[in-house]
Amino acid sequence: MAKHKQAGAVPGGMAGKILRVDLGTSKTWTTTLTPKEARQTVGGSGLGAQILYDEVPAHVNWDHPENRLIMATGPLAGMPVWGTGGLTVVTRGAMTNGATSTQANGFFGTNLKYSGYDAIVLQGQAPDWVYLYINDDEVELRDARLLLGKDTWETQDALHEELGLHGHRLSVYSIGPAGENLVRFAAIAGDYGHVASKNGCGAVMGSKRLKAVAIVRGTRPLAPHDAKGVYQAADVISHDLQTNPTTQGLYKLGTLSGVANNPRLGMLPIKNYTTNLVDPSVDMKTWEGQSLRDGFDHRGHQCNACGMHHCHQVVLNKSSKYAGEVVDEPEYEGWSSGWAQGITKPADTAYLNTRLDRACVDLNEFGWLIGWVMECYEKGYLTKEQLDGIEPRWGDMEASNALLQKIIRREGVGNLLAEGVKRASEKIGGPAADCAIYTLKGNTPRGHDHRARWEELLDTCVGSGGTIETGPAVEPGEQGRPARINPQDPVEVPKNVAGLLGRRHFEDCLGSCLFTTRTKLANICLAVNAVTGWDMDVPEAVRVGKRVSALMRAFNVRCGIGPELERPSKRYGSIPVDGPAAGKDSQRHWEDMLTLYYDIARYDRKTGRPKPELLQELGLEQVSQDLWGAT
Amino acid sequence: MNPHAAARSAAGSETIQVTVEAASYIAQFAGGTGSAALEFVETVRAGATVREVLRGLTARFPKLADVLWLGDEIGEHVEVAVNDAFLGQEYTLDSPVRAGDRIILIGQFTGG
Repeated sequence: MAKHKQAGAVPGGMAGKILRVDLGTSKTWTTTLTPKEARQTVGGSGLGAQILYDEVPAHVNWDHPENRLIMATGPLAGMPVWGTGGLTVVTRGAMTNGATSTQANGFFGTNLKYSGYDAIVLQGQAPDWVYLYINDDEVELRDARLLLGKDTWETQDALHEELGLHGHRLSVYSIGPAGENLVRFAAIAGDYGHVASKNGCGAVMGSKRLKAVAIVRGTRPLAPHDAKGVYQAADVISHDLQTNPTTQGLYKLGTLSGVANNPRLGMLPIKNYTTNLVDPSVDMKTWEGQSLRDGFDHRGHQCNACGMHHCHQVVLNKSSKYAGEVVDEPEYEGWSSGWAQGITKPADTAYLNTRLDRACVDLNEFGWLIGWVMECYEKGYLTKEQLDGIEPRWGDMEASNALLQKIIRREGVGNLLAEGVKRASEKIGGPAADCAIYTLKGNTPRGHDHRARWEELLDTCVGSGGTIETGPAVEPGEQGRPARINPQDPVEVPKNVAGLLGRRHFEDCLGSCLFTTRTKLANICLAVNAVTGWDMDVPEAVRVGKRVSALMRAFNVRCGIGPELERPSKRYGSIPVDGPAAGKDSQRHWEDMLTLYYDIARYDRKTGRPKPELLQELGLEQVSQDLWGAT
Repeated sequence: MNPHAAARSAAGSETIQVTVEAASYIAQFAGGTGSAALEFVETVRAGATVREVLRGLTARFPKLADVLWLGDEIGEHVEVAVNDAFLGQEYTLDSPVRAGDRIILIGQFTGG
């Protein structure tokens, strides 16, 4: 067995360096990561949350130049473990004006590590539009004015041409028009179809006048502590992903099967939560996972070192007026975003999905926004005149796309809608306001009807990173929770959401995809330890994740985001009128669920602050001091 | 009727029929390809429980054991709904089924 790393050495597989860029002064420099910091934060969201908390005070709002945009990867990035090109974006986001942790894949994390960095921290605001070019030690802010107006795929094409690098030799993450125009739910998209989508991180990038980050696959050596051990761990993980009944479906078809499955459980969001019944005219056989895959010419579009048959690109078929166009195969949430707008033709959704990615828009938020517009139009709360002559009826993809084009340029009604569904509905007011789906913090749910799945409803409302932070249960037995619960049980739900906290954040520290970490945490620790030389076990991994959660929660509390905002809007928390969850009322139990969640998570019920004993246990003594004073 | 559907006699004088649907990839553990749902019409004794119905199906399709069960409980890989309600609501594993009940087995909820 290989010896553990000496104290003071950079852990195996990590660069030990953070690239710092001040866009205001064009200054770039590097800072080092001590072995202790590396072990405490691990990388990704752990590293990002620490920097965000340390460097962004309460008065620095999402669009303030001193806000930080942190693009971090983790110890598994660049290693021969499935799905390890990962990027985590951490910032103070535009939707909640609070902490953000959002992930994407492709090759960004790999290229960054091969260039010798674990993370990039961007601050300041450029005087004019630039892109960041990284090739090992060559780090430059370059003129991006000619890239303005280009979407994220066009931007990547242009930089591939300009730099003469193709394929995975260059990873580009950029913003499209939505980010340039500070659309509040703008995302950061890269490598043709991968998107860090949550909490308006693309608007933050736009506020810094940073069009893109382009990273050449560098030449820095990246030596794991125990190379043979890494391959062995990778084998264990890939074997489990291929054979475990939970993940076999993911391995073969990604998340495609969710569309046909979720209506059976009342979890497919149909027409802005106005119904849970699929219209009988829709042939659901075309929505089975295999049918969606086989319905188009397709080819794999894998991320670094990935063997999953998950990410694909497809060619739009003859049923589309855009037949022949190559688009990204939507994930479940891409399809469900269409269903929220009543779009039931796969080719329409596939086309729209890529329009959203190219424009750099969070497709979840877009689905809730346009679903709301369509319902308001149907009910007369919004008129054709208010919508600049567009008549958005349920299922009309062309109308959705027309509104998208206005939103990403903030033209006409697009300027209102670019603020997102919460702010737009509040501005319209009256009965229209009651139809909008969002949390009071300002973010919106993932692509499900959470009224049938209270774990995700609670998780979305209490999560501190702009989206869920516990996520669906994976190997819950490792964290002392039962294999399954009734997802509408007001006691078991908060027990799960709080009791399983930590795992997902830990995964987001690693520089890998959460679909390739759907295995036992013990297996993930095998890989992390082989790479780094650590002796991390499951309790430590969970503790790392809880540390991330506590840091982001502390950041939010400091920014004035407290428990009073941890609840759903009227429609988001409404009672389904039909379908499998008809009559189920989550809000009757809401206060009790929150209380139990806070108790188990060890957050103060009144203020939302993580309790001092929790913070001290997590090694966050300074945070404890900041929030609670001397104890 | 689906070619995989089965109507089986059960011991005892009075029998009832319930339907079990294995959705999408769960179907591959019950004799299907995993690309489409399968339905099974199960004939069981009156008073049989949800558990007995599912154990009976598992006996015919042993591969279901790995995906459906964790000891005596339902494993984490499958959502089970009886008449559209998740287990733990109107029905538990040990609730008696009624004629015409419909049990659905669906792969575990994921996002993405």
